[in-house]
Amino acid sequence: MSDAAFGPVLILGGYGSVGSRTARVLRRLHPKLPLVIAGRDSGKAQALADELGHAYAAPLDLERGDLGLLADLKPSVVLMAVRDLSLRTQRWAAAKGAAYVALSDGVFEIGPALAGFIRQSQAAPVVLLGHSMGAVPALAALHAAREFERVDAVEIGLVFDPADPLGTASQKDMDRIGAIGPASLLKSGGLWRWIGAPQAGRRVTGVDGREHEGLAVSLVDVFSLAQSGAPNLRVDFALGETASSRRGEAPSLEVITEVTGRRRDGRESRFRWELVDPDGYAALSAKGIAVVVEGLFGLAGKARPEGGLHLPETLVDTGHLMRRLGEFGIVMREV
Amino acid sequence: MSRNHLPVLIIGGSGVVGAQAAAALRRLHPDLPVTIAGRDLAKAQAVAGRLGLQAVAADLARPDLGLPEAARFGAVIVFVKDDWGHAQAYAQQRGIPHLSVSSGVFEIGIEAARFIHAPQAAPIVLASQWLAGAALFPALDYAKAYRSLDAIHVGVLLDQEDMGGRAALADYERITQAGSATLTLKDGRFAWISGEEAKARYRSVDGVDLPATAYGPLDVLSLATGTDAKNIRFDLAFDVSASRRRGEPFSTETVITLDGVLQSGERRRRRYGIVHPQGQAPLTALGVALATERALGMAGGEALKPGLYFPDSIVEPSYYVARMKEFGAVFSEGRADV
Repeated sequence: MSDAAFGPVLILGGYGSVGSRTARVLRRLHPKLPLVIAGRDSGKAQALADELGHAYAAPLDLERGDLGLLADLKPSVVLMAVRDLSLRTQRWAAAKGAAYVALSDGVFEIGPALAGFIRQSQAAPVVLLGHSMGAVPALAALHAAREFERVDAVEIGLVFDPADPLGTASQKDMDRIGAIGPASLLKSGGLWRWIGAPQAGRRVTGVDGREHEGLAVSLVDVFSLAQSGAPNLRVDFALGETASSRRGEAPSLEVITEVTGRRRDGRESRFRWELVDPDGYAALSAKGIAVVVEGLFGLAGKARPEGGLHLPETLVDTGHLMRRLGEFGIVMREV
Repeated sequence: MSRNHLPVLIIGGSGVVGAQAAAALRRLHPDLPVTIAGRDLAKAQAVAGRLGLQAVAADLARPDLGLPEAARFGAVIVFVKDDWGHAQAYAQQRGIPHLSVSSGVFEIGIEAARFIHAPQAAPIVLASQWLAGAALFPALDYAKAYRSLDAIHVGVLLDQEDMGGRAALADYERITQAGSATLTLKDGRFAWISGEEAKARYRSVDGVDLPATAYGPLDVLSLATGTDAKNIRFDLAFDVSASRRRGEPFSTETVITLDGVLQSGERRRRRYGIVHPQGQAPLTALGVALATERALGMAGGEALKPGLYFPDSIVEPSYYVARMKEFGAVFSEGRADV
């Protein structure tokens, strides 16, 4: 993977919580994939690059049009593990012909990335990846929905453990989306609807059978779930002690996927799957993001994209994601 | 050329703006067939009859839109908010352009996602800029005089008697709903503002100062990506237009202020006023007609290939502005303020 076709993956904010975890997963999956860790603190970037191998550190200045990066840097992928509210990073990526992966935009915030794509639609792929947990829950749900001949509803519930709090950046994203966004977007009865409290609430049953209060979130997961064709779609976040915590183990993240409809074998009901990452939410996000990056190289069961606007399901075959998760010891079980 | 075109389907075509869009398309291309679709067939037929067009009943709640299976169209224009997404899916299944005018910035992801899942199906034109581009295109045209822009401010006045039909009112209420912030560009960074920060003043074309508020059609996105301006803000005054203060019928107003360095190197702030004495409907209708003729390859280039478009990524600003003048818009350049 050292040839030009697999030019470096540039991670802006590479030593942060999401960035560093994603870099480590990419390294584990692809021992020789070149990585560039860019950040304001060159010491931190260098330390991570040294740890990863086949990686180097780069400065980062989001106030500059050239981002403070070397002119001869030609990445294949620019992964946004920092938040850039200007169009500079996207323009820079387009000028370099590099795929651009936008990580933290909520449903109502994707306009700038979309507009940037429309303006330079031939430049390189643009990926909307503001999903929860690197789109693992959304892709896992689409995987479950594959064996249905008719899907009536797809509902995802995520149980976060209080002992596994969101990192600073993720918490800021959720606070911002909650504070300035419109109500939460979901699909109900075939209609896209923005709903606020109290309709936004839903009880999520964790893997040990205990119920947690959930709340619909306005993340782009619902756009991916729309590919199922289901007239009812929603994603809820719940905070509660996870089963692993109660057993005295480390806190985990629980992904509860429920698909209602008619399966190919004729059974008609509401079916439930569970997926647990014992290392918590950030670990799962990193795995999902890394697999989407694989997709940009054509290594996730779908053709390598030359351009275009993408959601993870256009880059990643859901079966490939399931296999990758399996390599990490994570299995989606139907219960 | 028009002779071979399939009819353009205008959903919501019996509404105030939809009917005028049909008329504008016919004025630009007299041979282009247009079909008016509405929930109420009798109403659609009445409007179509006046314009010499066909009418059909359409129901957005149905995936087939309730249209006859054998019906064939050349493009689908939707003047009401399609919360099901059925009209876009219908256009994609048939490989024909889809144009929408009702989305706020916060909700365009819904249409974009449907495009992403079928990118090779059809051209998708996101034409939900203010009055389908009536403020955006003049701003882009005026921006050409500048080498660099510090700020673009667009103020628009919608007369309280000029809301158009129910569809326009529904859009306005949804986009201004409490709790949703409005997109602006500040110092080169996108910023969603709300509350006190979203409040503004609008100076009408007769100099009268009116309350206004930041508003979120797609203009800020188009201006941010189409110019190098570091500050962009769009404010809406829903009030009494200058013409009505004079005792005349309502009009619609746009005031565009540009601040920056001209191509000559001179620093200049310029203020432009645009008024349409018949209000917003004829401008919205024209904007949609211009995007439609472009999508069909009847003006400005080949028919659009499948893709995601803004009107300003497909129509030349100077052409658009010239058409606005032909269709009754009155342009005035105010004095340079600096």
